[in-house]
Amino acid sequence: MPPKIAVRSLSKVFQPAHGAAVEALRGIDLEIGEGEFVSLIGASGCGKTTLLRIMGGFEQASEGYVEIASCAGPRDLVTSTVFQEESVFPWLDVEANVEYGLRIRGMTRERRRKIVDHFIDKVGLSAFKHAYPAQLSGGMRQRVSVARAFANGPEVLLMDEPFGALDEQTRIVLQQEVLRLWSEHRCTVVFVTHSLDEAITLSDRIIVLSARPGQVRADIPVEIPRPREVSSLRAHPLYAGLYQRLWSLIEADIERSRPMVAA
Amino acid sequence: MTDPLNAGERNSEDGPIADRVAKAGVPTLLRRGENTGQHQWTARAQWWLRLISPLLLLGTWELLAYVGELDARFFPPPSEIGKSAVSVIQDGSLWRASQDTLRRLALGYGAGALSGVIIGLWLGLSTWFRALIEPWIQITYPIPKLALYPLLVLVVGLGEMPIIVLLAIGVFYVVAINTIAGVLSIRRVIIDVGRDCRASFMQFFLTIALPASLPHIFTALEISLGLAYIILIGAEFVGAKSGLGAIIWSSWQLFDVGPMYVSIVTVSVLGYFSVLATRWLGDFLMPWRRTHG
Repeated sequence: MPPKIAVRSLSKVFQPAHGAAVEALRGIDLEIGEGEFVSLIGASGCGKTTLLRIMGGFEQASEGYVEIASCAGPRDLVTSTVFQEESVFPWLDVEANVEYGLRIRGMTRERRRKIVDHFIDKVGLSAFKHAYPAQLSGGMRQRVSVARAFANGPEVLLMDEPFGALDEQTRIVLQQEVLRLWSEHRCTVVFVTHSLDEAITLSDRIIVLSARPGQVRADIPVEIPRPREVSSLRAHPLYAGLYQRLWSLIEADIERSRPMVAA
Repeated sequence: MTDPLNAGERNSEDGPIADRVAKAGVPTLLRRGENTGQHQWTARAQWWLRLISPLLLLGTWELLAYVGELDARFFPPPSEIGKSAVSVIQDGSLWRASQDTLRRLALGYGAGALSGVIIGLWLGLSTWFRALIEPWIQITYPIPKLALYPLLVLVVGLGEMPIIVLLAIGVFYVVAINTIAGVLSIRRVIIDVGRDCRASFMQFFLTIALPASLPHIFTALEISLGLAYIILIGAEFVGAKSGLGAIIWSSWQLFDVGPMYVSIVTVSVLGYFSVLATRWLGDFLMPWRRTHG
């Protein structure tokens, strides 16, 4: 059986209108299995978001390609993305935001409502169904984005540092929610993060990218059993070793990307 | 409203500085945050002042005309204008003129606004269409629209049509240009969500570009409303036998300035209420903006 996602010798060079070209990714080869939860980590600017955006169909590669083995019908979504930036529509209330993707695909109102109610309930926003985003906190708005992505029912869920802009307490709660949702609605997840802790907490496997141009430096399995409890995971015997190993893999890159003083 | 320069701070002893210096060593008690009731009083007084301010202006005018400082042939006192208002209201001519003016406004403004929104959204979304059409808009925008009136008479004939078309053209530019700006200011991630959900061009148009640009569109509708009255009254000066603009022009030429002033005031009142109506419609169509804070 082919892997769910195969990345084949993928490279990406950005050519700005003025200035030098930036090589973001070089020769990425990667396979992700059906139902796997995989994190991409690396120093900032290593191209992990670019890789995710190519998987989502938002950007073209300069060389190579991404192949997704899909059994989706013509009306189903192969991928759905949760963005780092706030991406809820300010002119729609919570319910309409969550059902947006379903409405676009012409699903009937009754079927839509059942799905939407379920996911709004799962992210704990039932009391805010008819609130507009401006009335919600940043964490609640990101919950809406997560609910929208799950409601789309994709085969592959792409998450681009979805909790990067949130405070730590909110982040822990949302990580727990994602784990619970994912355990009930299994799909393949590619999760970009800069947080080592987040990668360990959520993933089956962690792909470490090198600094720019991003190349696959390591592919590390996380053998902490599920179901996992986010708040107590750090006490697990495997946690500290994994954390050390990941840090040693990206430490040099982070040192290197520090701004030069009086060059 | 709170006076930003005085947030309710006072010394317990407000004596002259010399006094306080004399008592050096003894701490002065500063009391802060106490509600003295002064601000409420100030706010209420200013509200009343705002209300009677126009009356003060009219009173001054009346007085100056009465003592002969103002030439009553051109600047009749407000009481005279009031009399002429009563007569044009009673003989129905003001009502008929307002109806004619408003009908032209509704048709011309409506056509200009609708086409401006549709073309503007399309231009904002399609880079191809923008590359083709935007230069035309930029080149022709600075033309004073009234200058087109003679040409329009040639093309569509005399009567109502050239006035309505002229209005529509003037409104179109303002609305289209603002709508394009509205679409172009949509954050990239919002567009990405549409692509993520595989929205078609038409779906982008209706479910993303239109609602996201509504704030820009309504700003444009309000601005172009003022412009519409300018163009409309100007066009009625030369091209209409009825309407408020026609009354202003003919009564000036007849040295009977009473109806002129009445029409000017009527235009300003109509303009004021049209702006209010536009804002009300905006609030109605953008419920998410009402719920801030």
